Amino acid sequence: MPAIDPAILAQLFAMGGDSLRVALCAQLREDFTRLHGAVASADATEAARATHEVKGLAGTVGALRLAELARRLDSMGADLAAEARLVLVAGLRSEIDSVLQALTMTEGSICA
Amino acid sequence: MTAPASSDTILLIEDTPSLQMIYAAALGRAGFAVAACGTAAEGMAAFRRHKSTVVLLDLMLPDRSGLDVMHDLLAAQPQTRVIVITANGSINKAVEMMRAGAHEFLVKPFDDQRLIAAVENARKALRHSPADPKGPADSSVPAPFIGQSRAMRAVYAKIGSVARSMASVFITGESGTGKELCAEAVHQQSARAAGPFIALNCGAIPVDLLESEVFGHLRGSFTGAISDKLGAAAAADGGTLFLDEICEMDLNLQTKLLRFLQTSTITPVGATKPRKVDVRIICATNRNPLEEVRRGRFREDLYYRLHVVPIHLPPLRERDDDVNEIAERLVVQMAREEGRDFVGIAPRVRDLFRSLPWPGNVRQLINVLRNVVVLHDGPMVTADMLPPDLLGDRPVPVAHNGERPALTLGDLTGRTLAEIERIVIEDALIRHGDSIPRAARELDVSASTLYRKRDAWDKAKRPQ
Repeated sequence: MPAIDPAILAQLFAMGGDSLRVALCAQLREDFTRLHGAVASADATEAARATHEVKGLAGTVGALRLAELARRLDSMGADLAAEARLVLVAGLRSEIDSVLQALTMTEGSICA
Repeated sequence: MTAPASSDTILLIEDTPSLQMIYAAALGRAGFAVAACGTAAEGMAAFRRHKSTVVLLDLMLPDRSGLDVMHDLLAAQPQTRVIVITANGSINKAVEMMRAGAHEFLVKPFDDQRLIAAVENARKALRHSPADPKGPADSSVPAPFIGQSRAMRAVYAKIGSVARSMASVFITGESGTGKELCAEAVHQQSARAAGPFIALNCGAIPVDLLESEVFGHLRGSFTGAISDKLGAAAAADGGTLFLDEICEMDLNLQTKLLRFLQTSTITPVGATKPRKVDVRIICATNRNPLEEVRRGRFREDLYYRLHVVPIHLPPLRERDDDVNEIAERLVVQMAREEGRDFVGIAPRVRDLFRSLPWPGNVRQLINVLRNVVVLHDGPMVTADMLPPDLLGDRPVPVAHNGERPALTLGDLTGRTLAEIERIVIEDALIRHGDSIPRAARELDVSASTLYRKRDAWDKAKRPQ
């Protein structure tokens, strides 16, 4: 299963021309890079907020595995033991890396 | 993003830049002008600038809660249609938002079609809304309800509040409390009042036929489908679909109903292409819907989809003097229909009506009154006209049946002659089910004497 469902991404790209595609790819990379740091924030409120944001964003762009990880972390929230939380956050960040890689490749193919 | 300064501009308040870009692109492609903002402060400033009547509002904003923003938007411009955007985990919050006046909510992720449909629905609702919309706390009695009890005033206020929203309404209440009337009142006060109101009783239709009744079918799709049939959902397009006894719906069909609610599309039995419809759902049950969920007879996700604004209709016995207000109004109306000359309800019957449990609620009261009006003539409804089985429901027996202690000399000692006369007459009336002729026979006086005395007591009770 790819990090981003190409069919869903293609639907989003179909809403506009190349300029939208390039701008959207760049914005997605910027947002996911920001969220990569924010989900591991020492500030629990900021981390929870970022996880919630990942959930909505990932689902929209077709990053379904990431959306599921974020959903799990978001729903368990404060009930998680610190160690379990660290494991889930690490998994979430690793998946954000995969999504960022997929976006870089997509961006390359648009500009090529 | 620059947007033209007009009230047609859709205001988008979403703090995730990528999502802001995606939603704005989808709306722009559909021909809408969009003003996009990332914070509550920017959003409020843009709202004042553009005077937008449709606002897409993310629930979690960096500087303020979406609920607070919505309060400010609606306070500044009550006709604003606010579409709340939220992620799955905040569904309870979304319900809270709908109750607070949101027009609709979208759960992330959603596709561009869903987004466009929500905005179009909101704009359509605006076009149909009255020039001077009623405030959310309007508690005047909506037709055809009768009664001013505290419990019903709360119901009327809720109907007024929910009518201007697109939120699903879940009506609960015992049989005969007026759930369909309530659904109609919501429809009549809504921006969809000019559209159709379609009512479907899920409990009255065989399971095999229900899907076809709701979603329609194409000719030849099953044995007996001799022509195309427009289902209730399509018939209610642009209006309201009322699904009564929703808890009786088969689980498989519940899944299809959920899909319909999520996508606003229907696929008639035998059809391959879905069709988009614009329908507001109101449903009702006389069961406890949450208990049905616990027992696995009602889908939990469907419950949360439908149970956005619950309205509970109180039983008649908890509606103070509404029973008599309804009875007085109906008996005159029925007398006109039946060619009788009833003008009202005798005071003793009023007292009796207040004390009855009315297990069948208003429906039972209507049947009792119809029975009286058909079998008797006026001018007043008296206790001896009431069907005997009604008196069997009384929690406090008034007929002399051994449960009620007989009058003793001790009850009369120390009283005036006038008081004793009244106690004795009232005791006789109670034992004879409020029948003056029978009480008069026992006391060996003329019936007119008793009528005269009772009128005098009633007059003395009334404020001068």
